[in-house]
Amino acid sequence: MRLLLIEDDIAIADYIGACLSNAGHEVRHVPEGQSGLVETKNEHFDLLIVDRILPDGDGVLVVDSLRKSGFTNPVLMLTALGSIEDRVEGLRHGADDYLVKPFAQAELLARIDALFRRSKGAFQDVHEYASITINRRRREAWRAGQRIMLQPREFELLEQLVLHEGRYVSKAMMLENVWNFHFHPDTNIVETHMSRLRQKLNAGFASDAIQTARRVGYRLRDDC
Amino acid sequence: MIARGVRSARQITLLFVAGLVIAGVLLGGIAYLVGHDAIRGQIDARIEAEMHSLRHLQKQGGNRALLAAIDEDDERGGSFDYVLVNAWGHRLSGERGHPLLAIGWHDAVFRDDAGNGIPVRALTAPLDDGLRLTVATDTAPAAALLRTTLVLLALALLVLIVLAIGCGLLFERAIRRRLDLMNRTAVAIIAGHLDSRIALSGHGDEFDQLASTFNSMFGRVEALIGNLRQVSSDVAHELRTPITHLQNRLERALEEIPPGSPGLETVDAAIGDSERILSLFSALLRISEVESGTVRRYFRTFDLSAQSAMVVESYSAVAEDKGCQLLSDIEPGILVDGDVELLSQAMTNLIENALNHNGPGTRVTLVIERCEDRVALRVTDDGKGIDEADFPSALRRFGRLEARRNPAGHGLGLPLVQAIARLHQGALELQDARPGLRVTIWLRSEGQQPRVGTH
Repeated sequence: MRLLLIEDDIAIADYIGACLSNAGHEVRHVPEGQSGLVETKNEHFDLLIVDRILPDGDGVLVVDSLRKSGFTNPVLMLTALGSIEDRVEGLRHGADDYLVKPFAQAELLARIDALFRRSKGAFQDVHEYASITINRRRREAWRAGQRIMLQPREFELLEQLVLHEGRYVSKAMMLENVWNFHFHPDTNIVETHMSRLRQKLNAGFASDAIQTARRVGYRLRDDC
Repeated sequence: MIARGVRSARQITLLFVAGLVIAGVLLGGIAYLVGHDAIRGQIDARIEAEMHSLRHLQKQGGNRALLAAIDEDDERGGSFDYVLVNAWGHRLSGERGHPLLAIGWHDAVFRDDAGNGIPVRALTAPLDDGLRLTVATDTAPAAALLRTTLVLLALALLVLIVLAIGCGLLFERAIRRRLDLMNRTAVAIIAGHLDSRIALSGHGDEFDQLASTFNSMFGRVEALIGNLRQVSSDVAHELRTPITHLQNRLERALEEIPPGSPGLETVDAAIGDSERILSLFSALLRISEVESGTVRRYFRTFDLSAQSAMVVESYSAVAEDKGCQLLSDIEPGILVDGDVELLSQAMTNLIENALNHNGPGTRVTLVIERCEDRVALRVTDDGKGIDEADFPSALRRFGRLEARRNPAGHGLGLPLVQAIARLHQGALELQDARPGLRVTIWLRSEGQQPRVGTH
């Protein structure tokens, strides 16, 4: 996929460029908002990554004019501030997601994956991945046809895993999507509920359906 | 004295109307009394003049001329009535219904032929030859004139009252409108719209002067908060960027170090350290953002009961893992205006504090209840508690107490909760739960935010 990165800090841009290239994406980098806008007019990009503070102004305004010019592909904003105002204003002006610096490579990749899929849209009730099936409307889950009884938070965690189709979902994304928390509580509530989900999901099965990667997140095994 | 007692535009208006009415009544009363005296004086002067001319007539033409003049006047139906008596009390002229009056001025009643009483003003004076003459005149026309005057005065007073109330209401509305304008602006600023200013009428009047003073004050507040935000944002940017580089390098190092080599643990620990620096840093920035009040712009009404139930549901599993118990007593359907995420953060902070500072077996209870027009969000534990003397230190940033209680934490938990309570125009209260600690966040229930109030 082709991505455009608008970021003035060369070291961070290099790091992001390396991450994304390793993951198989094609990345174009520009250091200013204006040149970014010109690039989007000349070429097609599947996704934009825009820094909030740019030498020629606020990244939010870049996203704003992009949206006004009819650009509909996903936009991920980067910020060093992490303030509530920052996040709300970014989303209000048309960004699809928001990532606070510094971030781990896995976090960035997980979010980019999620944005791509979100832009494809998936609205049906029943979803399947490997041996797991969920009904989102009735909030029911099965593994290999066997009904798994889950608490609300456990179901929502599983829902995230199924919707991400075997890709990693970070702890922060779980906090945002399941709890709607954009802060990190001292206690790892994701881990607590994930371990319960794992117990219920694996009871009576030989293999662990969920794979945990330290500092990366959780995903469903494709062979479960 | 009066001015000190006046508190509202309504009182000023009432005072204004009352003043006008009293002034009107006084003025009308004086006009009436002066008019009354003038008319009476005129009547008396006329009577005196008649008396004088009759006395003169008697002196020149004798009693006969006097009688002739009186009779002629009576026949003509002139404006005077006469009673003339001789020295022996014998009535020489005058109707029978007219009484004999003593020497001097009188307000008397004469009766006409039909026996109707007529109020008169009369003067009785001695004449030559022992005669006594009473000259009287009907005061009814004068009384009618005074009555008409009185009616006119009353009408004028009525018009005055209506006008005074009308003007008063207009005046009150004008004051209230200008005050409302100021109040609305101040409320908007409290609500986080720091760029709000009071619109000036352009007349350069006292209100405009006050408004422009307020506006410069608001400008100053905005500049100060803007400054603070700028500094926070600069600090955040300048600090986060090198930390980002650091963390990225460490992550790369982690990938490059072969598994099992001794450097791996060190790098892993270094990543942990940088994460702690960031969490401390985020908490500090969050507190300063919350304290600036700008987040109030994003306030909306939400169901605190439902959100609390969700938080309790999420943390009861955490409590269970720690060998503790998390209970709740949540009054359903309590709505508040606020930031759902910040209040959730406050709740999780309080629950985590209670679970982390006390050992297994601790029972933590979250209560949401309405108390009159406020909402209490209360977290109580039965653990070690805090000495009442240490409460202030527990609320201070980086307070030693917090550091002692929670060596892994950053000592910003309760200060953040306090900032969040204040953001919601509420308060934070610590109490000794004997045993344990009870922390209450007092919130306004939905629709109880301060509104324009000039009444």
